[in-house]
Amino acid sequence: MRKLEFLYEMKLEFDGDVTWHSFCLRCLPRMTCFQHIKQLSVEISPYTSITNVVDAFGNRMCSGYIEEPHNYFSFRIAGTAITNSENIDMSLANPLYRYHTPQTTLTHGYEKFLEAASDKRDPVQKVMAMSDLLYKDFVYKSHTTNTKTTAQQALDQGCGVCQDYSHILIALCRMLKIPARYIAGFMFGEGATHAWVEFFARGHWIAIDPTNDCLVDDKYIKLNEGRDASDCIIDKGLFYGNVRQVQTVNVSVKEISL
Amino acid sequence: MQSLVKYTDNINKLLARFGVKFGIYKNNTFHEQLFPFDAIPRVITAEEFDSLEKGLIQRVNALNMFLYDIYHEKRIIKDKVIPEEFVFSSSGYLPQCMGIAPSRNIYSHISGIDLVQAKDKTWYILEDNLRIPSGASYPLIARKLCRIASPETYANNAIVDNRNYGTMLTKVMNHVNTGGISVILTPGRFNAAFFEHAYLAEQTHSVLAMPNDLYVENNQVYYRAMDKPQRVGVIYRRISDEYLDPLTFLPESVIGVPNLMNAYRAGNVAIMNAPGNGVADDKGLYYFVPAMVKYYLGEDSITNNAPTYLMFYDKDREYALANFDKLVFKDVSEAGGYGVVFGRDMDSKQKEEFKALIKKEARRFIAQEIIDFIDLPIMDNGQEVLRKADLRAFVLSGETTKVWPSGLTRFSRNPDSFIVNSSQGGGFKDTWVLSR
Repeated sequence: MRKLEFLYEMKLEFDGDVTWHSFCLRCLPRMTCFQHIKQLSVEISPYTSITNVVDAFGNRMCSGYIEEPHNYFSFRIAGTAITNSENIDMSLANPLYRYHTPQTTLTHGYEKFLEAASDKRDPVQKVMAMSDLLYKDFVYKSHTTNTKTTAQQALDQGCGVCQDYSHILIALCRMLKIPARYIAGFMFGEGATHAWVEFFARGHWIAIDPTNDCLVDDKYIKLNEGRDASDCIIDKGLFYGNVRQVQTVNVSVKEISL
Repeated sequence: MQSLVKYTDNINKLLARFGVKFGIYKNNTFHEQLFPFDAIPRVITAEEFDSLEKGLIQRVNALNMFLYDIYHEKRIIKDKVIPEEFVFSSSGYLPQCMGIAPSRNIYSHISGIDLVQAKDKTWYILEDNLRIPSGASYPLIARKLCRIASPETYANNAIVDNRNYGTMLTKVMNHVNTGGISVILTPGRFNAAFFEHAYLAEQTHSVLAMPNDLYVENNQVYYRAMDKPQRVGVIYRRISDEYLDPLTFLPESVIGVPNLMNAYRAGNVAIMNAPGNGVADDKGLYYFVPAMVKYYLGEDSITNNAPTYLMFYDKDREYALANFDKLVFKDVSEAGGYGVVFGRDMDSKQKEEFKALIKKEARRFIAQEIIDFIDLPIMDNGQEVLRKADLRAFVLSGETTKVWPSGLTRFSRNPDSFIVNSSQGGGFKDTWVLSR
C-alpha cells in the first residue's frame, strides 16, 4: 500500500482568440477497490461552470462551455491516492470487451504471440507469456505513432509507445476470447500519462502493464477504461477560431508517507 | 381517380415549386432531383389496414423493448435468444449509449417499416428503419395538392384523412419533452431530405435548427435565439448518430452539437430517435424480430418477415449456397438499396467469388427468398404499366404506439428492377387507407 500525490496540468495556448469552446475532460481518477482518492481538486481556467457526468464505461467526466473569446485554456487536477499492491477489480466482465474495435484488430503478424501462449492452460499465464514476448520483441520509441495508430500498424513497424503495447496485447487477448480493456492513467515516476491493460480471468479483472512487462501494483493510478484508447482520451474540446495552438502537459506522481 | 391522373403534370409542377426534392450524392457531387409523383394511389382496405396496424404496433413495441434491454441488462442475450456477436459486432450498437435511459424509455419514436405485398395478398416486412426514417412528408404534401386538384375524389371515396401526421408527431415530441422548446435539427440545405426537415418543422410548430444554433452549457441544451438563449427539451434530429456529438462520436464531425450526449445522458433533453437504434434495424438482427416479439410480449408475431437465412448459421448457409439462384443476398451493413444482389444475376465467376466471401464473412450477409410481389399500376407516358412497389408505414411511439393511416409507396420506374429506394431514382405514390 502506498500514498501517492498526483498532479496533472494541461495548458493550451492559442495565438489568437477562440470562442464557443466546448470541452469534455476525462481526468478524474476513479474510486475502485484498489485505489482510494482523497483531496481531489479541479481547477479550470478561464473560469466557467463545470458539470460532472459519468460515461458509459464508468469514466468520470468534467464538461463545460466557454462562450466568450479567450486565448488559453488550462486545467489542473491534484489529489492523493491510496493504492493497493493487489490491483484486482471484482466487477464483472462486460461482454463488449470481447469484441475488437478498428484499433484492436490484428490481421497478420500475431501468430508467434498466440504460439507463445499455446502451451499455457491458465489464461493468466497465457496473457503473461504474450506480454513477455511483446516486451522482448517490440521496441519502445516515442513519436513514431500517434493516437490514431492501430495495433496492426504498430505491430508492422515494430515500435511505439505504451498505447501501442496495450492495443496489441488487447487484440491478442480478445483473439483468445479473453475479455480485455484499455486503461489510461498515471504511473509513479513518469512525466506523462501511461496506458496499460486489464484482462478478465479467474472471475475478476487483472491489470498488466505490457510496456514494463509486469503486473500493475500500487505505483499506478487508474483514470479511464474503455475498448481502446479512443474511449479513454483525457481531454477533448472543440472551439471556433482560426488559430494555432501549443499544448503543454505536466504529470507528476510522488510518494508521500502514509 | 381518373381526374387525379389528369392532373398529374400539374401536381408534379407544384411539387417542384414547393421544393419537394430528393438529393443524391453521385461521384461526390450533390444532385437534387425531383421525386416523381404518380397519381394512381395505392389503396389499402379498412380490414387490411386493421390487421397491418395490429402487427406493426406489436413489432415496434417489441423493438423498443429490445433497445432498452440491449443498452441495459441485456436479458435477451443472457437468455440465449440472440447470439451476443450479433449485437456487439453490429456497427449500429453504440457502447457510448450503454446505461442511458431516454425520456419515457422510448427509443424509436418514428419507425419506418418497409413492407411488400405478395401476390397472395400476404404482407411481408422487408426491413425496419429505426434511425431516421424519412419520407412521410411526400405523401403528406402530395395528398394536400391532390385534394386541391380534385376535391371530388376525396368526397366520393371513403379515404381516411392523413393530414394528421404533424399532430401525431407533435404529440410524440411533447410526450418526451423534458422541458423546453421543440427543435428539428437539420444538417442543412445539402441534405437529401432538407425539404422534409423544413416541412416537418412547420407541421409540428418546432424550430428548424442548424447545428451551430445549438450548444450545451451546464448539461442543458440551448438554442441561440436573438434575445436570450432558449432551453431545448426535445430534438428531432435528422443527423446520423456518428455525427451527432463530435466529443462522443466522430471527432471530425462539423454538423454535431458538442457535449449533446452528456446532456442526453443526464436526462435533460430527449433525442428523437434515440442514438444507438441502428442495432435494432441491422439486417442481421431483423431475423430475430419475431423471436423478440415472443420474448418481450409473450405473443406470436403478427407481422411476417420475408423468409430469411442467416449466413452465420451453418444450416442456413448450406441452404443458401445450394439454392443460390433463387435468393437475394443483402449486406447487413448497407442501406438504401445498396449491397443487395440477386444470385441469379451473377455470372459463374462472380458467384464463386461471392460464395467464398459469404463463407469468409458469414456474419455480414443474409439471404432471402425473392418474394413475388404485387405490381402496382403507374402512368408512363400516358400508358398504364405495372411496376414493383413497396410501402413504408410510419409508426409513431409516444404515450401509445400508433400507425399513421397512410404511408409512402415507392415504385421502381425501371421495369426490370426490384429496388424502389428513392436514393436509387424511384418515384412515389399516395397511399390511401379506406375507412370502410
